[in-house]
Amino acid sequence: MQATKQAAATAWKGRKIVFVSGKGGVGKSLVAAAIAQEETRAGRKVLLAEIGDTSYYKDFWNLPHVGHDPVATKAGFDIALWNGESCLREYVLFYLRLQRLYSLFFENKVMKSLINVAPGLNEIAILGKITSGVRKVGPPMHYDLIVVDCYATGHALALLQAPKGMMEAIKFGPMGHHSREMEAVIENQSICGYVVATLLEEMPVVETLEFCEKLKTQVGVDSSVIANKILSLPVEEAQLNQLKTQDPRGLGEFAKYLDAIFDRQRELFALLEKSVSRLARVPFIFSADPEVLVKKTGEALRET
Amino acid sequence: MASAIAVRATQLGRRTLVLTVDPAKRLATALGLELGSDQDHRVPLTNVSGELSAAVIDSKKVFDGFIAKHAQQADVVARIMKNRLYQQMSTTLSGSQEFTALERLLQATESGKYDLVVLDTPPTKHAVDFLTAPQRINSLFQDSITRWFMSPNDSSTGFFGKIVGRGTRVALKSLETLTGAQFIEELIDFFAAVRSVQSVLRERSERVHQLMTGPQTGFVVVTSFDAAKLMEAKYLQGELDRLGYRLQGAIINRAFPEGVPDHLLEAPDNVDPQVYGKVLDFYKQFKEYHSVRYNLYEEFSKGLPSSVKVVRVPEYQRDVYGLSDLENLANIL
Repeated sequence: MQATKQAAATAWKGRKIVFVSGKGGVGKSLVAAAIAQEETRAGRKVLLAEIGDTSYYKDFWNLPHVGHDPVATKAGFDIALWNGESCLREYVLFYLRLQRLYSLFFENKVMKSLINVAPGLNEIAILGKITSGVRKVGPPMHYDLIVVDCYATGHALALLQAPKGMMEAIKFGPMGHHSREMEAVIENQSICGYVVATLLEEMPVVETLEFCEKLKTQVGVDSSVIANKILSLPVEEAQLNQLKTQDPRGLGEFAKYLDAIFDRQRELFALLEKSVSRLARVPFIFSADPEVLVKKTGEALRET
Repeated sequence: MASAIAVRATQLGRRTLVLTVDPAKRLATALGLELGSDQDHRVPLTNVSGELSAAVIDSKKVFDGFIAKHAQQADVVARIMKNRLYQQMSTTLSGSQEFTALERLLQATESGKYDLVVLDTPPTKHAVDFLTAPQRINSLFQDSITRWFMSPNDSSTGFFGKIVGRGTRVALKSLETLTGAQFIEELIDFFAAVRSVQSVLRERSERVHQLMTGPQTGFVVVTSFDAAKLMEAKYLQGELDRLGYRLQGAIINRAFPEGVPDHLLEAPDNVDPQVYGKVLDFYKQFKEYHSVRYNLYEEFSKGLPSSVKVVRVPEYQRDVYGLSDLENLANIL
């Protein structure tokens, strides 16, 4: 059944945290950066947070360093790279206060191994950091919006489910308490928004629909879908078809290629339209310049 | 792409298994996979001299099967299964996928049923976690470490017991302050319970590491014509090298198809010149866009050792709907 249509921007307008995910290679980092830029343009103080051990944006914007502590970008927002260990370090330092105790904690062989494999600790540490501003826990974060360039779909779901899993296992003490708080923030859609980027190709679209469904049923939240890199035909479809037969060895070959892509796009966009309530399109942008890509993607999102 | 590699190996006469964690529905259907089954399925390929099988790795089943097989005593198995952290780890929490995928890989290679096992790993950022999983599991389940988490009821040591150095005692006490006594209790119970399988875990993780660094194992990086993606692939190549793994191939996906030869780019008389002009401008824009990427690809390829084979898969490949599409992709490979 077709759901009531809403603007895709519902996922980030007025929210404090927005998670951006998608199948690997669909442009989710670009969509996350574009949302960060648009909200900066709208006058909000924005942090674009990457999750993991390596920074995509470091090379994208040719920045000297991207680490746990936010760095400013030319685009007006800040960027940080968070992983389980860096988030836990900050949290431990904040609460243990004593540098000596903190060093003892992190230089200890048991702790190092434990942090790496203890069930759920990494996820809880990362989500703890992302939601810390809203929960008023840990070092203060002065941002109106945190855009999270999250993991690809499977791992993103595991991350978002971690507090629920942890609070089922640990009901008492600080771990149980923090997990319950995180879960409440994640489920609160006036605070958190969810964006899923996709290309109009079979596998990304199917994965997107499955992920949106799991977000709904397993996390209890709605999401906006951004269809990225959509090609528009330079002429009418009938004219393109005519060219295929009129110039089969020359430009007709390219016309065939365009027509096949266009057909696939149309079919998959219709499928998305039928299945999701918030859908936006971003056109194919003929540029490799990061600033142009982010700006134009942002402009396309602004119109949603 | 992993499935296409497996199809190619089958075309070359090999008995092949492709293991995947989270396949797209149509691909799963094409390969005859059933989610949640964790069984190897024969894929009905025709006109090939080899045999193709495929399986979806079900983390929970692999984990539970591993514990049931190696914990031996029924009460120990029950205790591990009952531990709430184990339940979470083996179901919803990430981190267990690396272990189970590698365990499944080892089982498949040791079964003797296959000449080649193709494992579809997670995307780049998690691929590094994946590659270091054997060492991490090994380091955690060393006897010297699990002893720190022995049960308080164990009279010989006990939690925060005599053998624990002062540094570890303070660090664990700090962890308890931050997470709470219940979390620590569950951790103690978790480590105490899995202690019975730790020697097997250690041995299996060492064998996985030997397998992954051995001459019979090769890695293939799949990337696309995009500056940042190529940088990520380069980073992964560096990590593979650093960890002692062998990169054998790079597949560059979504390459622009061979362009139209220049001498054929002339409007025939029967074509509306306005239409032709618009499509030609669009074509030039497209070609220029891809030529920038082509230069990046050239740079990336030059940086690879000569032993690494590089394959470009053109953009115009339609989506993979079924076995015939996989076979087409396999032919390109």
